[in-house]
Amino acid sequence: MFDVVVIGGGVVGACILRTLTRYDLKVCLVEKQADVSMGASRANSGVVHAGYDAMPGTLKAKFNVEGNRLMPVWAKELNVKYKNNGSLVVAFCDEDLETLHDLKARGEKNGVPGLEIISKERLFELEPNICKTAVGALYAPTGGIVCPYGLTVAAIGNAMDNGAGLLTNFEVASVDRTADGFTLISTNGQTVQARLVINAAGYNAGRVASAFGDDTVKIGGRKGEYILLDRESEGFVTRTLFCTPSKKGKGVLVLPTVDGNILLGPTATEVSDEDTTTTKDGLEEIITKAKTVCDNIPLYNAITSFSGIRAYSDRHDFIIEESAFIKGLINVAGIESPGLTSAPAIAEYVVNQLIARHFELKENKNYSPYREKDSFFMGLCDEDKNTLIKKNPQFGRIVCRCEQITEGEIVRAIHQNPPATTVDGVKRRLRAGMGRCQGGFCQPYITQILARELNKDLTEIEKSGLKSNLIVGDTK
Amino acid sequence: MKHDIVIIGAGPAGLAAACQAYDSGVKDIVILEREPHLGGILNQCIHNGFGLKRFGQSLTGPEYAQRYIDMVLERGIKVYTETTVLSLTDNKVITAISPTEGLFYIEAKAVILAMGCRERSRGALNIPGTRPAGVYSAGTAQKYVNIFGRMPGKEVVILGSGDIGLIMARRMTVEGARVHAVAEIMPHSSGLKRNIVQCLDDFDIPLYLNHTITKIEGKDRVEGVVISQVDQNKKPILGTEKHFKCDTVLFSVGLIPENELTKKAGVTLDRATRGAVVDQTRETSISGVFACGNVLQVHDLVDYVSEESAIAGRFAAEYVLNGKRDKQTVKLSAGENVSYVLPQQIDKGLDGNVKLFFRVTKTLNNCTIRGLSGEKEVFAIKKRVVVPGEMETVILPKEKIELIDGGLTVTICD
Amino acid sequence: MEVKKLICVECPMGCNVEVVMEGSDIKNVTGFSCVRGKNYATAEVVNPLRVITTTIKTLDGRIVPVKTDMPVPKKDMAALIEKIKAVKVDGQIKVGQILYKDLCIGANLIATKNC
Repeated sequence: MFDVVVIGGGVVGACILRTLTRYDLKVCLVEKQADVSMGASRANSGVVHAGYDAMPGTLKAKFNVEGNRLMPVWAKELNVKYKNNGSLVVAFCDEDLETLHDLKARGEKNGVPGLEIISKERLFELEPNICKTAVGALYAPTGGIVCPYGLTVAAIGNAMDNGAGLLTNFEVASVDRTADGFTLISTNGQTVQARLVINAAGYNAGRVASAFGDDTVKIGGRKGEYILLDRESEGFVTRTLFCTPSKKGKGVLVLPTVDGNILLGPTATEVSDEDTTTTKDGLEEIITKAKTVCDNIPLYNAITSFSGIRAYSDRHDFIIEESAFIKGLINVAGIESPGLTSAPAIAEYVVNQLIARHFELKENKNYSPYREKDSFFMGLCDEDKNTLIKKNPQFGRIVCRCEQITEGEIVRAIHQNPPATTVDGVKRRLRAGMGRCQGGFCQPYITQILARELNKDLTEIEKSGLKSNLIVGDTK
Repeated sequence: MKHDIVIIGAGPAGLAAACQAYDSGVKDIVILEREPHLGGILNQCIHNGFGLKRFGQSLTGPEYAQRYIDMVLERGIKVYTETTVLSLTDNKVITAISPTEGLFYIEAKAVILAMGCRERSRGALNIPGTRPAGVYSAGTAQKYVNIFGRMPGKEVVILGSGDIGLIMARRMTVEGARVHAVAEIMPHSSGLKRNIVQCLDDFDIPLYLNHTITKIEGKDRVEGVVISQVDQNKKPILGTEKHFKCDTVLFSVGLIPENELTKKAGVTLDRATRGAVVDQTRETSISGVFACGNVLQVHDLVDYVSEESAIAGRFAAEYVLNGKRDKQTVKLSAGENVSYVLPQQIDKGLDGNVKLFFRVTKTLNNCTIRGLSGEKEVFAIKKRVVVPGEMETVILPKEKIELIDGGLTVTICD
Repeated sequence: MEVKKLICVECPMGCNVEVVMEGSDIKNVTGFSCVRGKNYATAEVVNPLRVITTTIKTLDGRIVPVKTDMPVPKKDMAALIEKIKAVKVDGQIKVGQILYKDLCIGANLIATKNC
């Protein structure tokens, strides 16, 4: 019997799980996929928003500004890549400029520090590749970028190091009410008992709430497609570039990632399922729109395209509350943008306000907020590298040549919290296979290492989860 | 550690460069290779057709590699396997790492870059659809099949009719898979004619020219693809979609020289070849750093890789023995219907003929290859046919080189 | 009368050669640009030959690349591949080592790599 079970291994569930382990509680996270960070948290812009976008008084506004403040602290403790690169909302006409003044006023009301409207001269100085038709911009110095799946994996890993449990391939099928809580039953027949449940199931939060008997959580999905450029394009832009929102609609972002790639997107298409297909129209839209923001985008450096489903609620604000119908069920749903930024602040609120009503929160004396990076080897000094290689020669074997990831790090990621059990799981933790060759060289070796470490046959190793096997059999 | 010549890569380029450097009088040579075995990608190219020019017989990849491995071992050249080079500086200091040696530095008098190339990935093409398991570059599939003895799939569609794609179409078929189609966006295959006939026609595998994959389907594993015909601008034509049920998609859509080390060292690169700018000795913009093989330009035939690498080996040895040369370089450039010319520079101070390698942008029949220096025609050679898929060569004799004034532009016209 | 259409593989020209056959007799060859093309086409229609390359496994599971040491009839390829796949090998294998003698028409199966 767990005190608290979190449903959903995305960034929101991850941050809540981590915050829970600060206290003396028995907690566990259940995730329907084979790995954590498989939904929106693996495919989004990675933007740490400053907080000028949300309407004052909304939960979005409140948690965004607070999350923006917490993010660097969390990133440092968890060793997650974060950069305070600043963001720019670029205006291309006088009407846009007016909107910028509104945004600035809104931001100031929300408590965003340092907002400034800058001239086009200053803008081109900051970002020389912005289209020459730009007339000015709103500069938000507190804007940042973070690795979204890195944060999710690290928060769950840190929570597990501090005693939390993790059950993957656990998709909630039904829920039984018990005398002191709930029994969650998964589609594959596993059960978990909990006194209190946090529904952080993202796009599926409505379905999960219904399984408890709460039909008030209404969730829709919006697909966002992206194009990623090779690190060769590093420096093309250094700040996060937004277009000024207008009647003509929303533009796409052009921004750097924490790893030095350039990201273009997202689109926004209403969807009715979790299908993350990228489309010809979507990819063309990104290119067309990105070209209205920047000149000479190095599109020849594209290395991949992907999409993610962002869940939103019919309230068009976050839902963060205990269910009015089901006592002991806390819904944390509809966490659309700026959800990533808000996640740490949401976690603080959920645990210290909502959970505190149910449990007396006693400090976990063994809690450590720190987690070492999964890909740590190249950051060591020469002497430490050699000491480690002497102890374990696997650290001397580079498996992913593009990102310079060693066999030692891969083996470590397979066995540490949360364990990487798929090829994509290794990739998300270490970037192995994420570079310019996109796994062309290293994927066979990573598959082999996974098989060896998990004591499986090569045919049982999956790319990203059930039925995504890479090898179908032997040669004749 | 200090060595006269350090060679990065023990594929066909590195091995040939090492042998020639040794034979040219430098004995202190080391080769750094990241894989556990010598021979590079040839080890997984188990088909034949290698060595027709170099050895006068049709060898398989491993056999071709073995000849050079034997030559390297006979000469007692030191080889570090499972050793990855992490960086190269402009003063020729190499940082490398291996399980047995740890992290170590080598100061080299001369460096030969022989890292080869990599395959372009699916992402570079922005093909819409899902990202399931079962999408491989042809070379990755080749590794699974020929080195691991494992099948990456049973029902296959291939995009790109480059040689590796064609070879894998046959290879998968021989191992019991069914190859439903090979789609090629160009109006012609970029592979050798021999491979079209012996890898596709022999097995009744259809080749769809002017076609590309417009969608990949399947959530966990590939379940199908859609291929469409393209117009003159390579845009898919609506209504021409063909659907194939399959569990595997292989990509054979081009090779890119692996020049990350080169770039970080500060070597000047050629935008067209994506390799270093070199003179006829294969010396790069950093004196004492040479480049050869597919890291310099993507070759069709390994025989040419060996030939080019011997040049780099010889001149790296001369560099070590005689020191830096004073150069009188003239620039070569690609003119009409030519995508690039290599070398990009000729040092007029050197003796001997220079063999020019170049590629054409389109198929031309009964054409003339011309070398122009300003208004002056330095050479003109008639050719029955040139095709983009096959590299062209012209030998420029010393007396013609003398005629070059300022620069030389290579053109090819009807 | 039957017309067989071929693409010559002898050089980059890729001539479309047509061979007119009557039964197994060649009546006419057209479309070639040189004698190599004519010879290629003739051989291809009479008795096309191919070198087979593939892999086999040692008893302890190592993968050995192999080839026929001379071209074999194309028409027999499928059967020969089955025969090759059934060959059992063991121990250290040297490049050039004969793994199966006289697979057909005097062609041996040989290893192409030290394994």
